[in-house]
Amino acid sequence: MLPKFKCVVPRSIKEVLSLLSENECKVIAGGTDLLVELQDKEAAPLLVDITKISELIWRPEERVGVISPLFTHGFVAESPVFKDMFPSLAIACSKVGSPQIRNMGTIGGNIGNASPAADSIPPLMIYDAKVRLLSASNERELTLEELLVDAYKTQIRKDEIIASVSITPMEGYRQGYKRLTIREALALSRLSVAYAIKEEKEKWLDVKIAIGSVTPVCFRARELERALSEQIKDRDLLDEAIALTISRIRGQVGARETHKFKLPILKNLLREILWGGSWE
Amino acid sequence: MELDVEDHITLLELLRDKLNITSVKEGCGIGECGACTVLLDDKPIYSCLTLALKVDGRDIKTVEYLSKDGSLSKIQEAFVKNGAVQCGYCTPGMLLCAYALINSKKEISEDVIKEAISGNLCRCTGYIQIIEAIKDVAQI
Amino acid sequence: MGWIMGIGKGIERIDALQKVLGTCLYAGDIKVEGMLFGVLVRSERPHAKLLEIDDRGAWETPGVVRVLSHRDIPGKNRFGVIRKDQPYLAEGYVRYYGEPILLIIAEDERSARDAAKRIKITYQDLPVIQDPQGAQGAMPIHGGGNLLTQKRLIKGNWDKGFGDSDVVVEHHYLTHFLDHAFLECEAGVGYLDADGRIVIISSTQNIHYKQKEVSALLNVPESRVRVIQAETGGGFGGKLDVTVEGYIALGVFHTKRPVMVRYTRQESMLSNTKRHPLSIWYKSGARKDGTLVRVQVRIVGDTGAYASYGEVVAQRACVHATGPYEVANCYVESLMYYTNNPTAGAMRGFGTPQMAFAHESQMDELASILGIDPLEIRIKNGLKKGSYTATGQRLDHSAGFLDTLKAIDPHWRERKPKDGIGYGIGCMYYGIGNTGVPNPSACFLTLREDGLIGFHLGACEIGQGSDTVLMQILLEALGIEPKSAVLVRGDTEASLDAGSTSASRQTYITGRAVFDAAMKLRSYLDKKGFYKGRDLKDIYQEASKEGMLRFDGFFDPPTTPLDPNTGQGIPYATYAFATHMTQVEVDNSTFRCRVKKVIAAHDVGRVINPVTTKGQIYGGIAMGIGLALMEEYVPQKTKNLNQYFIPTAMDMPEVEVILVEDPEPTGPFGAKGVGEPALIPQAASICNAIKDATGIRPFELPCNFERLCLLFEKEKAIGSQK
Repeated sequence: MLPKFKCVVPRSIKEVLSLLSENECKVIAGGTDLLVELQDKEAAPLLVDITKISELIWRPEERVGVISPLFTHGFVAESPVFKDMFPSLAIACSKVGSPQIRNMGTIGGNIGNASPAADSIPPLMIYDAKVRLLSASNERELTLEELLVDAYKTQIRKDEIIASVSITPMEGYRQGYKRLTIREALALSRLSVAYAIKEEKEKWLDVKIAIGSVTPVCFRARELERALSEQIKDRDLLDEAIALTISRIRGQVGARETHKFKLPILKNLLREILWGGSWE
Repeated sequence: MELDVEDHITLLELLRDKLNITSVKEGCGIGECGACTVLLDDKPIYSCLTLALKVDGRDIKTVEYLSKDGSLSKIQEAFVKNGAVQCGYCTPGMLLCAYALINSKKEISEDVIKEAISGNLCRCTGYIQIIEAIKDVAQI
Repeated sequence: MGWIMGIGKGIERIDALQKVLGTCLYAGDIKVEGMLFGVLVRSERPHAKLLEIDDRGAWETPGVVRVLSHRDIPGKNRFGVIRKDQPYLAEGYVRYYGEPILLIIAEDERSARDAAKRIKITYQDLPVIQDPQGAQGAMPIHGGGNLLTQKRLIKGNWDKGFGDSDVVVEHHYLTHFLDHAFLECEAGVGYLDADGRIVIISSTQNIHYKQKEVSALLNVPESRVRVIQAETGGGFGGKLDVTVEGYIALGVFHTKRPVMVRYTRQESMLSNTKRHPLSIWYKSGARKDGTLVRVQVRIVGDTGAYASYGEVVAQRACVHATGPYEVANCYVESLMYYTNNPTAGAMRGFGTPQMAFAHESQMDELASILGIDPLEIRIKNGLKKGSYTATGQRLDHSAGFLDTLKAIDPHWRERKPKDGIGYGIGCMYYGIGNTGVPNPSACFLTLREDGLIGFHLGACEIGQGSDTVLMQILLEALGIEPKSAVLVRGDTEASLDAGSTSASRQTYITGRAVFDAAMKLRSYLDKKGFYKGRDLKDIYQEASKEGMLRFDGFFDPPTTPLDPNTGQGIPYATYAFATHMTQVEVDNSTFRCRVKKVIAAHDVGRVINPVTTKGQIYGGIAMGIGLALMEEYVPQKTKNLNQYFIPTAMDMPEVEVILVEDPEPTGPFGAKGVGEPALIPQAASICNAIKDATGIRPFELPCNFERLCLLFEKEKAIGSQK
């Protein structure tokens, strides 16, 4: 059962920012993370429902590459703009939870909750996402990488909301999203890789890889990206580059039980994704 | 209809406790089983994870809607005919997802059907006769 | 008589209409005026003395009416399906995390749950037994020590050693706790009727058993307790033990008001009995030509804190250890230990799905070493008419195992080898009904003034279709139209004891009892000219004067108890047989195993309703996929359905069902049972398919991608050392 609380539904951004600056609040959009979190808690602060704020509602065609925090996973998954220009994100969003979750859960919520297994985050990272934060007194922009601090922790201040997320298309890149789950639906990613690869038949030109669910925060595998950029496609080189990523993970979080299977599988996935064809 | 509800009441609680629409079930309380599924503006959602106040001014359909004119809808008939009902606990949620799919503009295939009900768990049927019932109505 | 009314026809379920309309009431949907709400306060330690319980916070919570402890129990504070070793409310001592300590009754659910949070308990922790292997020497959790039971089965030259075998295969298989995960959690409502008698309506798989337990709890005669089965949203064995009924009864007893108790999913997962983890050492010996010579099996099971069905599972695992094969020499030892884990009890199959995992893997290993086709080796050893089972029972009839293998054969021949694809066979046999003990069913029919026939059934419908199937048997036996009989089901007031809905027994045993009653009624109706066109209303008038309004039916399958030392005897009157063939695809990057196709051939004796029979098999296959690939309950870690994974629609393969009929002479129209058989061979079949696809054999379930990857890494490491 949920604890007793009050919830307000402001209609304008000015209203919501004013509420946030004056009260202990929690922002609620789809509610699919927050309402689970609040189950059986003793108390909850004032909830501020942001889904009716007119300034946060627009169509993707109106502002191409600018995501409203209120876009649901389902909306992004089905939107021709995203499927066409940001396929890695559209695919990731199409796999979140279940149809019911996708109809309610939002991109803003996914980022704000900052789960290590959030599916929208790796694709947003390869599209160099920049997050605009608004408060009553301030406006600032951070890269997604700067915004995410730790598992379930972001730089978002108590009086701030995500106003928009801007992403850059990767035209001419082979893009996609792979995730490892225990079953086909209603499952969290145990490992995820978002990728955008610009290549010729024999050569990697530019590689972008973001890896989720292995470390507390999703990360861009920049050491691997740098190692492969402008390189002739070669298996040994690829394995060396992958090894860099693996040691970065080990260096960051130390040895974990889950690494015994996640790291071998990650290696396989990266080989598959980057090689392009059959590894064998 | 017009109602006053406390802010912390979920749509599930509103439907079951205040309006006595017990066809909407609780199976887990955290949006992982689908027994609480209702249609919000014809889109399936988990009513256990939706605050009642969120649906202010919007359209909610529960399984009773399907037979509102006094006879079984095609999808309900198909469920009965194809053996898609065993213990029946997941059935209202399944029917609503099926209804939403059939009335959407989506091109329907077996994979599309499986995805449409992928957020509704069933422990009895193994889903196969449910899928057959939906195929029946979609005529594929 | 001819099959005029519907045996063999997929007629619509008689309960389907209200279920698709959403009008049927499950226990949690029932509202009674003035209803109170009961919530349990549960232990937060797996093994502890309760030094102090401070309930002031609860009493001070607005809306609280009662805070009940074991001292408030008027009768016996012990229940259990076989051994009554389980307290309703702890007496200063708890044996598992989640054990009920207090019962709080309040005006509404929120108040009751708030009050429950305010109870302060001081625990003195005791050593925790988590592993049954260590239970033997550890601190006794129960008076008689930690060994609940030890079963043995010995046959032939069981002590001669494996010298007579050309090939010997020995492995260890391991399974863990599983949860029933029925969609509807436990719930019930109780109240006092006009006569002051307690009425309990609950989600349950049995009613007469619950009536007995409640009567002992309250220290009142059974006639003062009425139990009614609410529409039940799945059971799978998890609603056989007393769940909410005792607490409802206590609440009503003390407040004299209606009381509801319903479990959230979290409470259900905490308190519900689980599938027994089994640790199985299996040694098989065979001759060069594939004939099984001997098996030696040692099974160690974890029954958790209380006995529940532990003895039954130990026994079934023992009896079914060989699988559906004729083996001349057997030595099987099956031990069941108490631990401080959650109580393990009845779950679809009673230990046989775990055993099938073992015996089917062994068969494939033998086949592989001997270079014999896996299907061939099973045909060679398969039980058939004239075979002797492991308990020395001669199968005289209804032994269609070879027919199920033959049905799979053409599909088996069609396998197309492809990278990452594997095919596996899994077989099973399963004794229908309780093991070597009487488990009768009784029912009765009545003639009614309105010209209908009253069909009074104590057998609980839990979704598996018993209402419909038993009705079909009745209609066929009487030769009457579907609308001529009125089903009155699941009320101790209005029915005889038909036993529990478990052990796949309702179609066979209650079905036969229904047939028995029908034959008596039929004979009477025949005498009265019904079959010549006379109206039932007229017949009723005459019958009423003659006092011939009720016709009882009864059936208890002919069995003999098993010898306590040798396990020999006739434990079941009939067996179901099945063969599943599964095609899997294993992703060689992620080690994710996806089930692509299953062909399931079942000997059900006679198909009463093909639609519901298939429905059971599809559901069993889904559960088998869960057991093989994704279901694992970890005590104190697994809290809700976001941590316990059952298959979704997208996890289901293409399925083809082949129904084989080798009629059972003692069954109604030859029918046996299929509820558990539907599941039993599936996980085994998947594991053999994984071996075929990857060259790696799973020895521990679930074989999820994590385990398969680790097995693969281990193989690689061993390979690179060579």
